[in-house]
Amino acid sequence: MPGLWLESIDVVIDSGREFRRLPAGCAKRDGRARPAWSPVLDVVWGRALPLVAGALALVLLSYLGGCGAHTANGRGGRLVYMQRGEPRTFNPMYALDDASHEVIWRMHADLIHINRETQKTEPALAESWSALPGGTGFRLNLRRNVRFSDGQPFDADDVLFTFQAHLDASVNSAQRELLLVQSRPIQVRKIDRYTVEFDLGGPYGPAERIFDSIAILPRHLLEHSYKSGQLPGQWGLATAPPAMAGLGPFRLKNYRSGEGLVLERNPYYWKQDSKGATLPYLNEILFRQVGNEEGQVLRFLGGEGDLLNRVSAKSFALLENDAKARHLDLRDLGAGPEYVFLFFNLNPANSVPASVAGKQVWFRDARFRRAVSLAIDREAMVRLVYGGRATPLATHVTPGIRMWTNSKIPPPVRSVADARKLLAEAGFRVADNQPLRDRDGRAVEFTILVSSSNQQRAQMAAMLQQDLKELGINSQVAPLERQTVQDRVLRSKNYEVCLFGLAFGDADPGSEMNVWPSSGPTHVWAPSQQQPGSDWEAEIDRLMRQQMATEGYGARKRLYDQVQEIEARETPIVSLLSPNVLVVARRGVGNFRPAVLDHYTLWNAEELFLGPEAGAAK
Amino acid sequence: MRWRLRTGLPVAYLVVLAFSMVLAPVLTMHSPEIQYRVAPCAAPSGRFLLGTDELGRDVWSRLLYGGRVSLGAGLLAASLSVCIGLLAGASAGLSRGLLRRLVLALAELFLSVPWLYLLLAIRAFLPLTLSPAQVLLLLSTVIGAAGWARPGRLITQKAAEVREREYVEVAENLGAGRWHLIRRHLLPELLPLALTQFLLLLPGYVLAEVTLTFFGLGVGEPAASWGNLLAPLRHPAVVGCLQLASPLPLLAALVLACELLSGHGRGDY
Repeated sequence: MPGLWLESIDVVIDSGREFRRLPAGCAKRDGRARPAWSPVLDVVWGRALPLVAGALALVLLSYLGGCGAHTANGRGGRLVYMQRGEPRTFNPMYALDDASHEVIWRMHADLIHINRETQKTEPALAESWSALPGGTGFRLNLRRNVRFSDGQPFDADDVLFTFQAHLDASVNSAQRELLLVQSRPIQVRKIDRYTVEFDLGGPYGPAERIFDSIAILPRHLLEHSYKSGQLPGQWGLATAPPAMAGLGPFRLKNYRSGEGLVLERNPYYWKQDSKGATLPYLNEILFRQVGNEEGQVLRFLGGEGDLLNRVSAKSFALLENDAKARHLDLRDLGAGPEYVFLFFNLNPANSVPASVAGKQVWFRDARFRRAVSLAIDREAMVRLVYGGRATPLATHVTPGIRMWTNSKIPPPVRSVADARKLLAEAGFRVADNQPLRDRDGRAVEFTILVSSSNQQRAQMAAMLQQDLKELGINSQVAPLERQTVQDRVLRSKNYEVCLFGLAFGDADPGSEMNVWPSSGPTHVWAPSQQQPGSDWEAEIDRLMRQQMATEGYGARKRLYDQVQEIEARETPIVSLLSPNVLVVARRGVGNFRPAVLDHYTLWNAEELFLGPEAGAAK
Repeated sequence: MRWRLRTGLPVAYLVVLAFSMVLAPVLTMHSPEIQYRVAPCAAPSGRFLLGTDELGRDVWSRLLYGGRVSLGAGLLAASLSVCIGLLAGASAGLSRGLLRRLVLALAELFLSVPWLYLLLAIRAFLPLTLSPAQVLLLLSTVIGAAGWARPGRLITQKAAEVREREYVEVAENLGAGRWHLIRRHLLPELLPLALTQFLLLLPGYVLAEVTLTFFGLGVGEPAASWGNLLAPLRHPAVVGCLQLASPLPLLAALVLACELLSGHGRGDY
C-alpha cells in the first residue's frame, strides 16, 4: 500500500501479550492453557489461594469446559466498533478513505495477506505459492471449495477478472499503480481452475507482498458491469446487500446513514481456527459512526462501543483514569507507522510564487535545513504534546517499521550552538537576540502551514516558533483547513514551510515509492518532478528503484539504509516524531491483539469474540 | 439602586475590563508567548497568577493579551456593522422608492449567506503570511460587514417612521436637504437604537472571534486570544488544566453586561 495521508492519527502496540500465538480465545501462563477473558481466573491464578482457586476453578471449568469449548462458548454476539467517519463506498476498487477500508476489509479477502502482527506474509486465498524461474513472478495455488458470501464458488476466473479490472486504465482503479512493476502492468495467466501465474516482468523487491490488499472480486456479479463500463458506479452506499459478495469473514447486513452499519457473519467463510471451527466467531459487527474523537471517547465512556482505534494521547490518559472502573483494556503499542515532519518548499522556482522563490535560496541549502532540525526540541514535543506517548525521530523510518530502521543513524539531539555554527558556515549572519540575516542582509522569516483541524500539530507549530526564535528566525503559523493544506502542497505549491504527517501503508519500503522517488505524487517537498532536482534526489531515485528490483531482505535493507543516510545528511524533511499507536477495547473482547498497521484493532476481526465480561463491562 | 444595578455595574465591569486589557503590559510579569516547558499546566501560584497552559505559557498574561484581541475584534466588527447599518438604514428610510427596496433586499440577502463558510473560503485564498494584526483586521471586517443587515433593517424601519412625522415633512417642504434631515431629525432618533444594536452585537461578535479561533481559523498561535486559550478544552481530557477556562466567566459577564445595558436602552427607547 502507498504511504497514506494521515492528518489526525495517534496510534498503536503492545508486544508482550502471551496469548498471541495461541488458538483463538486461549491464553497461556505457567505452561497451561486457560481462557483469556476470565477476570476471576486472573485473580485466582496470580494469588494462588488453593481452596478458593479449587472451588472457583471447578465452577469455571464446568462453565467453560476447557479452551476449545470456550471458543465455542464465545461464538455469537454483536461487537460495536466506534468509527470516525461514514464510509464513502463499498467498492474496494475505489475506496480511499479509512472508514470505507475498515468496512470493506471485513467483507473481502486477498490472495496473500500481510499479517499485521508479524508484518510478514501468510497464505490467504492462495494456500501456497512458488517463485517462477528467474524470480520474475509467482505461481499461486488457490484454495479449493471456497465460496463467496452469496454461496457462489471461487476459482481462478475470479482472480483473472479482478486483476484484469484493476489493470484496465479505463476503470480508474485506485489500486492500479500498485500493480505496475517498473511502470509495466503485471501479467496474469490462468494455468488451471485453481492455479494462476503472475509475471512481474523481473525481480521485485517486495515480492509476494504485492498481493496484499487486492480484494478478489466476484466475477459473477461484476463482469457485466465491467464490460458495459459501469464498474465505477457499482457497490455504492445505496447498493442492496444481496447485490454484493466477498470472500471476507463478514457481509453487509444493512446500512443507514447516521444510524450505523451492520456486518453479519459470512456463512461461507473459508478460514478456520486451530481447532477446525469455522470463523468468524462474532455474529455481527456494528460500525457506529461518531464524527470526532472527543465524541467517540465520551460515548465510549458512556458504555457505547467495544473497540476504539487511533486514540490520541490525551484521550488515552482520560480513559486510563477510568480503565479499572469501566473495565477497559488500553494498549500503548509504541511507535506506529506515522511520522510527523517539517519540510521546506523545494519546488522549481518557476512553479512557485515569487515571494516563495526568494526564500528558496535559504531552503535549498542543506546546512540551513540541518540547522533548523538541530534547533528543534523534539523531546519537549513528545512530552508536552503527546504526554510522552511518541518517539523522537532522526529519519522518517519509525521504530514501528522495525525491520527497516537504520540503527547507524544516531537519535536526534538538540543543539542550538551547533545549529548556529552551521548557519554561520552557510553565510548567515548570526547574532544574539538579533534576527537571523542572510548574506544580503535579509531577515530570515517564513510561514509554517499547518492543518487547523489537528490541535497537536498546532501546538507543535507553536513550539517550533519558540525554538526557531532562538536562532533568530521569525516564523508565523498559518492554520488552514486540511484539504487546503494538501492542495497548497501538492497542487498550487503556494507555501513556504509545512508541518505534516505521513504514514507507512505497509512495513516495507515499497509503500514509500510514492514519497521518496522524485517523480512520486507525494514527494511532498517537490512532487511529481520530471527530472530529479538535485544530485542527492537522483541518488535516492536510483536506490529506491534498485531496492524495488532487488530480491532478499539483506540486500534491500542495505539500499534502504543508504536512502536514510542521504535523508539524514540532506534533510529534505525534518523528521520530528512518531506518535504511539493507542487503542482501547472493553474487557471481554477476546483475541484482542491490536497491531501497529491498519486496521489496528480490527485486522483479526474474524477471531474476535465477546466473552461474558464484555456485557458486564457495559 | 435599581439604576445602579442595571447600568452602573455593567458599565463598571466594561470599564475595568477595558482598562485591564489596555494595561496588560503593566499587569503581567510574563510574555504571553514564552513557553516555560518545565511547568506545563502548572497550578496558580505567586509566579503564575492563573497557572500555565499545556505548553507552559502564563495564563494570566494570555488572558489579558488575548482579551485585547477578542474584545478588539468585537468592538471593531460591531462598530463597522452599526456604521454601515446606520448609513444604509438612514438613506433607505428617507427614500420611499427604489433605494429602500434595494437596501431591504440586500439585507435579506446578507442574512441568508452562510458567513462562516464564506470566511473559511476567504481565508484559504488569502496570502499565507498574515500577521495576527492582519488576521484580526480581516476577521473584524468580514464579521462586521456581514452583520450590518440586522441593525440596517431595524434602522431603516425606524428612519421610515421618523420620515413620516409632520415636523420632518414640514422641514422637507421648507427646502431642507437630505443631509440636513439626516443630521438634524433622523440621527437623534436613530442613535439610541444604534447604540442598543451595538451592545447587542458586541458580545456576539466577540464570541464569533473566539469561536473561529477556537477552531483554529482565527488568530493563529502563538498570539494570544480567548479562543486560543479555550481551544485545548475541546478535548474532555484537559481536566487538569481548568485555568484554561478563565475567559469563560469574563465572556459570560460581558454578555450579561451588554444585555443589561441594551435592555436599559430598549426600556428608555
